[in-house]
Amino acid sequence: MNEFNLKQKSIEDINIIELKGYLDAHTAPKLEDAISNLVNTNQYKIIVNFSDLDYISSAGLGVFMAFIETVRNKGGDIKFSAMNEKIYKIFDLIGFPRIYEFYSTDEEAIQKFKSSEK
Amino acid sequence: MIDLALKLKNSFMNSRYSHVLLISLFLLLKIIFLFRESFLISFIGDLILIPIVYSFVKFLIRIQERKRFSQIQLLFGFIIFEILFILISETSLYFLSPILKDLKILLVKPTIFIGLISGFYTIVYLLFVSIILAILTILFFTKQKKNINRYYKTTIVLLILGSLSSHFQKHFNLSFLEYTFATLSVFFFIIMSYLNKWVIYLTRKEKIKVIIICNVLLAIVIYSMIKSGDDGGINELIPIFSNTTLSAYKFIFAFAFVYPIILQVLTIFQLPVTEVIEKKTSEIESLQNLSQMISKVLDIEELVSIIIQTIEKIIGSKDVFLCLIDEKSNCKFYSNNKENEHLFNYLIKTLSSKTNQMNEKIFDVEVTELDSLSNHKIEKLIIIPLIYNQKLIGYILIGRERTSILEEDELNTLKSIGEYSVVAIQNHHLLQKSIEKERLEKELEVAREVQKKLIPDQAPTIKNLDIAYSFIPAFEVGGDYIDYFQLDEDNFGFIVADVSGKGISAAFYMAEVKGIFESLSKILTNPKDILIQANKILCKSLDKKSFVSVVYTTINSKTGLVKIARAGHCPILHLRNSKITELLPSGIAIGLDHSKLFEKNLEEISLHLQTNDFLIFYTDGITEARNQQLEEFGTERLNAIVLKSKNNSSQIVIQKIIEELTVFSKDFPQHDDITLLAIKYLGDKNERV
Repeated sequence: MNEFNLKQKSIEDINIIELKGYLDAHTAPKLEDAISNLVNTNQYKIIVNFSDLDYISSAGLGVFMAFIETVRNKGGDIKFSAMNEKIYKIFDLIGFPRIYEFYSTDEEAIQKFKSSEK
Repeated sequence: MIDLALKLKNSFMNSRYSHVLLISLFLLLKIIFLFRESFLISFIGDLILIPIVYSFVKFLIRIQERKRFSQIQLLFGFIIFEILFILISETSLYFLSPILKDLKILLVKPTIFIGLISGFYTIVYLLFVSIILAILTILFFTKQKKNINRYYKTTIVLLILGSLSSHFQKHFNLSFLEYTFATLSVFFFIIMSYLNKWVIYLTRKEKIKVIIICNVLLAIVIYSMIKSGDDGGINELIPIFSNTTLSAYKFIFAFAFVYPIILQVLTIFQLPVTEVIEKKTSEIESLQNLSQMISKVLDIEELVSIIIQTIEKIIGSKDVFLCLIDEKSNCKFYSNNKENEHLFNYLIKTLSSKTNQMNEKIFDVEVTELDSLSNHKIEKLIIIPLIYNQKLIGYILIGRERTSILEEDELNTLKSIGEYSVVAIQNHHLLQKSIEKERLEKELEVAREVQKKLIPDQAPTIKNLDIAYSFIPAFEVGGDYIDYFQLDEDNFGFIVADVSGKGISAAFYMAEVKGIFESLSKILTNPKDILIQANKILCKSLDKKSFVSVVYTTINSKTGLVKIARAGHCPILHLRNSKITELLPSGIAIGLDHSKLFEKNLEEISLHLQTNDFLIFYTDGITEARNQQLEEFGTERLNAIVLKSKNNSSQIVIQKIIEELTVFSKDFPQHDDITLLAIKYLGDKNERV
């Protein structure tokens, strides 16, 4: 089974979480902890980079749903970037694009955060 | 000579009646040649005594092996036999004095009567020699780690030689021989006595007992020594029968004098270290107890309490704390002393400031701020980090009332306490995990049971429709749900859904989904309306992380009119004339949005089925099934199979899909439920007629 890994970096007040590997019911808690830490420290601008993610299960999708309301109420957002076609298809089937914003690169997502500030 | 004696000994050793035989032989020899002053005969007679004494000592040692008398009991036995021996000689003196009046004359020309008396005393002396020799031998070899066999054998050989040499003294006036052997024998005996080990293991109380017994023993020996000058002639009586016995008795007497002195000195020297040894022994015992408790205690509070108790016992401090660090690096403190509660805040503060410099080493912290906090006398805090797999899992904290440097041996003890505690705590965690796992497996069983009851056993038989389905639950219960409802005579509703998440929660949501759709299908007829209402209801009960993907379809079996609404579910395959269309009306999963967004995005499509049209519904358990190369089964493979088997019944189509899926993912465990529903429209036959 592929391992799951996540890396975090921040650009100004925007946090980028890079996912890698296999995000399922067993590995989702790691991502949950990471986002929960950001939310608890009042960091609500989050970009999740999917470029190295191989698989996402419904439990993985659930993580974003758990936080989106809180984050948006605080004026932030969770934006998705660099998703490959296969992963996007899963998000698309379930209807995420109607609710979440998807960008092809982190930069675009950052720009979006910045422009919405003005 | 000695070789011969040894050979004799060996040959008689195995015989059960060896000493009876030997004693009879000895007595016979003596009685026959009683009045012969022959050197050879008395020498051979005494040689026979050696195996007698040897086998008797052996016999006594064997008794000890069975009864296991303590060393103090043995010393006490020493005293009792000494006293008994003195009593015998004293009382017999009283009876014998009239007979022995003219001893000098009697000795020159002994009668048979005198010979018998002499024989009796010879045996009594031999018994005494054997018993004392046996007791000493047992004591020497008790808890003996060193190989003292060499010394022991030398002492015994010297004893035998010395005893036998008394003959030479008598017959050839070589008295120096006996004295030389005696001196050497006592010398080796002193070495052996000095190597006594069992005293070390005694408790303080027992050591004091040993000293008292030694003094009593000494007093008795000295008393009988003084008396021996005035023994009324027994000492002269015995040589009539056996010269060697008297000599051996003298040797043993010397041993009995030397042994209590050396033993006493040894014991007195050992007294001061007794406490240290007792402490070490109790440490080892406590640690052993701890390791035994490890596997028995399930409750962490109880386990920690036992660890703390053990440490308190070993260290002798009442201020022992245990701090466990959980996965979120929170410290939890434990202490058996309720008064210590107010110290916790201080400790947490101290620890957090010291955490950075922590490594595997034990260290101590001077406690300065504490005076103002309480009236506690703790001046120093020893901190033992608990490390497992290079990860800090907690600390043991020991308060000390005096500021002193930790000694090397204390450090070692603390280190092993730390190691034992880590094992205990880790064991507990592992146990918890396996219990958790078992619980989880039970839970999954319940979930599978629930799921099984929610899903219809058989595909419905409906006019004009050929319906088949397959449902293969995964081990972890994936949350798939399939069902159908009869809406009226010709209209039927079908639902294929996938509740996110796994296990018991998925099973319960599934039950809720079933209830909601079953009731809504009775009130509403349009798939879209049903899904909108279902979303409204489910949004209230689903937790934030969960969602349900659903396809709801109604089919009119008479007209072939199909209405489909899809909420975030996999596409529906529509096969018509060798062509597959993926039906994908827009719609987001139930639970994703609580507002109008769901309704706004939901699309309902309708189509008229033609004869031999297929509708295939499935869940992502099929398309996401993997093989060993981690490739997914995917929609293309699925579509290809459906196309290939288009002329078959629904049952065959499903069978083909499952077959190929099984072959594809044969080496990879199924991680999600697999659900398939095939509906083939057979056309309205009545219409055609």
